[in-house]
Amino acid sequence: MTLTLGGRIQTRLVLMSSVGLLWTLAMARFFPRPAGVSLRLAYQITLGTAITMTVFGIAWEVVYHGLQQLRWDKDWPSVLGLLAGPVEAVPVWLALHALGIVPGDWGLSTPFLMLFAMHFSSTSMVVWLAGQGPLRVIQPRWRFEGGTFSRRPPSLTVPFLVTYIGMLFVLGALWLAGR
Amino acid sequence: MTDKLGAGTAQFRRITAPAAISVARAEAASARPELSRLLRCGVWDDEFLTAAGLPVYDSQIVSVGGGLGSFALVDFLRIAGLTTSAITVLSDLSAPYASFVSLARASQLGLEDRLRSDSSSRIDNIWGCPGYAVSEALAERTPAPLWRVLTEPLLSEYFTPRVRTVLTGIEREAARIGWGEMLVRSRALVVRRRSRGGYFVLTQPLDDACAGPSVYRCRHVHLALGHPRPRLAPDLLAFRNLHPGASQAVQAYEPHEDVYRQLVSSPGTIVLRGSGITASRVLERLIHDRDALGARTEILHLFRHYVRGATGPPWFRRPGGNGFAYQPFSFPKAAAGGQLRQRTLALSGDERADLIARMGGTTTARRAGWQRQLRRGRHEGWYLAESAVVRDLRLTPSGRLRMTLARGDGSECQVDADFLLDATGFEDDLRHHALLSDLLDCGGASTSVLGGLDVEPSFEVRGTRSGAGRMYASGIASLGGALAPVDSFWGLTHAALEICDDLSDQGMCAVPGAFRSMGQWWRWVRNRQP
Repeated sequence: MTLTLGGRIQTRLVLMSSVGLLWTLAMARFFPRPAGVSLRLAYQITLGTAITMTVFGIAWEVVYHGLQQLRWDKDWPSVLGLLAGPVEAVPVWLALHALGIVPGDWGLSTPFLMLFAMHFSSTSMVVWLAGQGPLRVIQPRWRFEGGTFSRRPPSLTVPFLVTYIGMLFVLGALWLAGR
Repeated sequence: MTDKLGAGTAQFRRITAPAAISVARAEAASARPELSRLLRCGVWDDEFLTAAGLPVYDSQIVSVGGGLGSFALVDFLRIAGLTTSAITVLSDLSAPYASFVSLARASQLGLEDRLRSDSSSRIDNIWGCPGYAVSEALAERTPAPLWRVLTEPLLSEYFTPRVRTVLTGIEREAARIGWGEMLVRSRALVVRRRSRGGYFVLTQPLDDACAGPSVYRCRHVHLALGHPRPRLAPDLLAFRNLHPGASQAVQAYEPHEDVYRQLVSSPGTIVLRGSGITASRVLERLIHDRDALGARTEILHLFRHYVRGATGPPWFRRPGGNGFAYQPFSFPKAAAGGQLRQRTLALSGDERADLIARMGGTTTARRAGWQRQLRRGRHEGWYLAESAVVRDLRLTPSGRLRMTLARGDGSECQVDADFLLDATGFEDDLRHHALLSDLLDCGGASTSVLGGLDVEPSFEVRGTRSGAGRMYASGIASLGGALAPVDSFWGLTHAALEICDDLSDQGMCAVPGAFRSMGQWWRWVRNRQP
């Protein structure tokens, strides 16, 4: 993949707020959760994870872009996108505890770890897969423009709607889950 | 598919003299005297043509060339909603891949060999999805290509498609978009602006020997003519003039199978010149013949610029060694669609030319198999690399080549060899292309710093606009524009996208937006017409 910094950030925002969000909403109820934990809390944790992944992801993209400068091809091999998952997971896990989204201890013995790990890894995988093929079909210009979404209005509509309506939808769902 | 390999083999024949620059004009004028009057005019009127008695055909857009450049654009336009009746392809090629096959074969690539192109740079699929790796995995029923494309380039070398995979894809897509309905077998002679806007393309039909020249009247015209011919170095040209018919010194893109055959039948020494991907493939073939067929060939490899190691600052450092500059593809990947593309887009003139030159140039891929071969050759003493150029080339009385080499350190030496194989690439002077030469003289076009046509980022040829009509160029003729790797599958597809966007701004076709794109992709999957 040959991404510009702007393309990296745009791509992460669009994919997380579309594929990542839908995956989270559809699958949260099926991830293993500790006994006695309500579905509402499971949604709170998974949606919180998705948002933290997105926000932290912007910072990670700046780091990746810096590392990309060391490569002659100035590209980002697909496999690095996969390997990034475990690296990105740790700060998200810590942040979720710091923000109180995941209750209790942040160590490996916490009962929420499996829920987090399943959600984080599967979401990362689904988002990565979407970037490998489907996104090119929906937005043919995406790969030609360094991962940015075209400035041409007809092409901009879909990512715009997906990103911003998607984000509003997440915030709404979070608000409902938190009530 | 095997017999298709022969389709374009006549594309590049042995070169004996510089191509005549005004072939087109001379041919047309000699055939029809009234044409010479017409050819003196830079802008044509419909009445001129009627008076000259030339048959005129109409088309919304004409693509001249008929190779992969035309194919990429026509594919895009069909997907963007244009019907076959709106498009005409003028070509002397029988299939869009004919030239490509010819070049592949000359550079020692058989159907099962792999190109220097990545998985998603599909010339037959505007989305690059599925990539060639997926197609190859399905066709060959093996997950190996998928593993390779997944782990490239960290755990394995870049996946590169087989010639067969590419040809199969083009053949399928050509049938799907109705290529045959749009193709007119003819040789385009000149393109002239029309007084009322648009263009005229003067052509000589090929399938009807009795037919005289005819004219296509179109609103837009696209030029994708490919390389004029292999580059013939001055010493090689002088040698041929001195020894007409001598076959000991050949250009790698000319048919030269005899060289390999003779080296297998009797031991010999070959001098190879060039350090690009073609030189690497020639070396692979020579070493393969040593290993598999028992040839005892000795190879002297000459480098004009001997690269001893990685070059450039830490943030822009290209690997190199043993004479070669290494990069997986002809340009860094980001020059195609990433940050380097953004830089070329932002620059202009000399700065852009300098960046393109630093990213491109003569390079080859660092493939493990080739590295092993050459290591063995150096160790066993039958492969010797030198930083030198040929100063003098002639035949000895015994029929061998004798050449004087000027080494990088300033010394000179004399070398006798059985063959000289020149793999220094293609001629990229537009003046060697009759139609483009005419365009520079009469059409308002000019050249970029790198010698290609001066084109806009939309690939419109600057200075050639005619009313509402626009002239575009893609492929090697657009070298020096805002896209660096113009002469690649990616470059041809990228150019097609930009041209299609520009045409959609003129209201000619629909921009393939998200929903149209998805629908069209599904049609591609099911092999249904666009």
